[in-house]
Amino acid sequence: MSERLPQALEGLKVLSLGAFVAGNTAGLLLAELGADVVKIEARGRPEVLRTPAYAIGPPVTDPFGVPQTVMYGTLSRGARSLSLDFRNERARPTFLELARRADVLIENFAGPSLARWGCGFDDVVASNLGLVWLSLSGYGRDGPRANYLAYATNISGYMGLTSLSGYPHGTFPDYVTATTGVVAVLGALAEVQRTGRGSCLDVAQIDAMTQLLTPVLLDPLVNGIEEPWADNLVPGSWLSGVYRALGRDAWVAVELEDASDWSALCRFLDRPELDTDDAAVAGGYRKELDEALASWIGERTAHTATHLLQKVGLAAGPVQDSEDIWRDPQVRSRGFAVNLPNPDYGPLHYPDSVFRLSRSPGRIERSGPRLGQHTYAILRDWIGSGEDELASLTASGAIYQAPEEADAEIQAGH
Amino acid sequence: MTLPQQGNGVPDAESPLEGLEVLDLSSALGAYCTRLLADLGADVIKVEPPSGDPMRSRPPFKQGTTGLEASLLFASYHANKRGVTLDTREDIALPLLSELTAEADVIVISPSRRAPLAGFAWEEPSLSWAPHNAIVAAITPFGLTGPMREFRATPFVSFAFGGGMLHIGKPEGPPVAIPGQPLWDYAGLAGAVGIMAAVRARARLGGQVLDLSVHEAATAMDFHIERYDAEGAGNRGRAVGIGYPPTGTWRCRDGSLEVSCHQQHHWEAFLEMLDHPDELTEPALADPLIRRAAFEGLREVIAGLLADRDVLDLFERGQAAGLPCNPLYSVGQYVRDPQAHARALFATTTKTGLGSVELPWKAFSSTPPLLSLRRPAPCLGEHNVDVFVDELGHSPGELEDWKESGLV
Repeated sequence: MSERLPQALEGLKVLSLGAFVAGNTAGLLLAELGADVVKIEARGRPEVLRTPAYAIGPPVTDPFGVPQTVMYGTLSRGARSLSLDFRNERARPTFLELARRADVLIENFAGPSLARWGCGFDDVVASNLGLVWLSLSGYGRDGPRANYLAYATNISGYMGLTSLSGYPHGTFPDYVTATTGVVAVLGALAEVQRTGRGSCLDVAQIDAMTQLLTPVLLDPLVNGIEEPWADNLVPGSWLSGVYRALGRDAWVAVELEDASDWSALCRFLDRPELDTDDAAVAGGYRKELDEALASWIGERTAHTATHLLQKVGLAAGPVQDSEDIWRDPQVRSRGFAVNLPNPDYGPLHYPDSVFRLSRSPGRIERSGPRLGQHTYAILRDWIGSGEDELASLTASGAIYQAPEEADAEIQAGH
Repeated sequence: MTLPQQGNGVPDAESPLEGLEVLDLSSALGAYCTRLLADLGADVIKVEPPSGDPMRSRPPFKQGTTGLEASLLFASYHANKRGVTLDTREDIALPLLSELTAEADVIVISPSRRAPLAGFAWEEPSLSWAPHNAIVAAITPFGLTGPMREFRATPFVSFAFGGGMLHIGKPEGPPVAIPGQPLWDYAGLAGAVGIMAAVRARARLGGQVLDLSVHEAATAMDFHIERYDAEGAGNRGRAVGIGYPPTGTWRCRDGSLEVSCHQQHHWEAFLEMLDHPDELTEPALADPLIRRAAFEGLREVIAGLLADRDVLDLFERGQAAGLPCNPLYSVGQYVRDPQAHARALFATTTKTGLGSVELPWKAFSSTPPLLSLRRPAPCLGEHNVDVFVDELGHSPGELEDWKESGLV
């Protein structure tokens, strides 16, 4: 092992009741930057992503009967697991003690239940004025559609993204919302440093995605114009398209942003008669250049066409699938796929942190935890629980610690 | 918990990043990143080439207006920033870059082969003129290292490389990109996270360089690396139908309703939304596998039950019953729906050359409010005098000379 570099958010304490893609991703980003992210689940109700419906590869369970999946393992990587059952009254004071020491709490579906159990925002803030509470949701916590239910596909449909292209983009709004949530958290933490006061952050998928859809919202919003959106036509560019390449379902995206790009492609395809620096004239030639490009790409693989177009300075790229990304020279060269052990489904490669900070690079040191793997360790670290108390809470069913010896044996096996 | 309403403009908002000096030398790659920092109260100075940032020439424009102040895109992405002009490509800009950044806490760049930055070299990515304790964030399509670092990308081309495009579109036709610059903005969000984390740690760690790659931000989504490693899955095609009936889109009298029925209680909520119609009371239908097996017959039944209904009525009834469902809106219908307005997601700003326009602005709500809209996007060179003369102490004559030589 090389020497451990420092991390930017070392010492930051995060409680996560976040579920699914958005809830877990928010915790993941903070964990990459060095925060101690504690993921809370009840022994009797593991997070839905652990269930076989979300398996990638064969479904597995840990030696104690709790399901585990690659999807859970990747989205909760870096987190530690604390198993605590809010339905057990003895669990609630323990949670409140943890929350008193937390800097950040993340939830997306748990809010109403937490309030019912006396563990909601108002209860927690009463003893921790500096807490940053991140509440992620589809439609937000206020307004006429407050607390409406949504998966990311529903948000895509509601906001017009699905109608725009005719097809939804499943999880993109989840990632965008989670990352917007973390921007909000870091802004709120700066406010805590400034004033000592925490915040309640209400981050909706529609908020976060409205920003990213700005380019398509402007015409309806300002000009009252709603033109049908032609697939892959970039407004303002001289040419854009996705062209079929050699091979099964192989494609190359090309965009000519301006006159110099147009000229470069005319030279490259040896079509000097189409060369012009007048956008209106080029518009008249567009179909011809488009066909010439389509026929040139059609005789080459997506990667070869990309390589040759990039060599003359044009913006071109293969429409990559997961195998392409796995083999991607840039991904490989930068070491972006990192291999980590997992005691239940085995070693696997995951994306590394995108936060390549020169002195405190983001990193991930473990795949998603087993349920309850760190319950005792966290209660000792965070609130100084003694052994008697841990035993008593365990006996009452308020908490659950995954048996550690068996865990250690299996870890040693890898 | 109740959250007080936060109005446009948010006059009494907190400014968590007040006093943070940010110099934005980036292209469209950093535009959303620095706007988020500005929304949180940072003083962001956007540096444009003397001919104007290329985004000023990008549509959509406000109808009936032309020129460098007419782009609604620029007005949105650069709200809350101040603006100066400087040709940053050549070494002649180095003295002014040093002065501009002497007090900067954060410098955001996006160097490329087409838009080089004086004092930046790919061989040893660093900035000769940046103060040692500044956070320098490079947001680039592929990162500062690696064999593709100088590859050219646009938002559209980044989408192809990133893995998200392959699964959008007709099964037989070409894959389709989400319009706009969604992956660049997503990288901008990640950039804002990295920058604020580094600023928070600055007393301990000093200045650092953040090398943020759009390509990495994109390929980290959607389990590409994990899925390929676990099961060798490459191309999963485009028409990936997930879920059990009645998950999908249904025609109603005046629109279409999209239904997600992924859990047991969703089926019960679906029945509740329709007042438990006799056609669907068969208890065996509670089993999603049976519904899937019987789908051909069920499709007609369900289609018949929904065909004459009012889509907004079903939306509200379904949600009240606990069913994730929504009208399949156009973007125009979305911007007219009351929810975005109730959350003040659009803000009215008045900008020279544009007049009064409503633009998407607020990325989230909070108590207390942490985002504020303090100024419209700058006109070209609007703050040249403020910055070069008033703050850096140059004479108006020098500024005139720079203008004449094309430096400013």
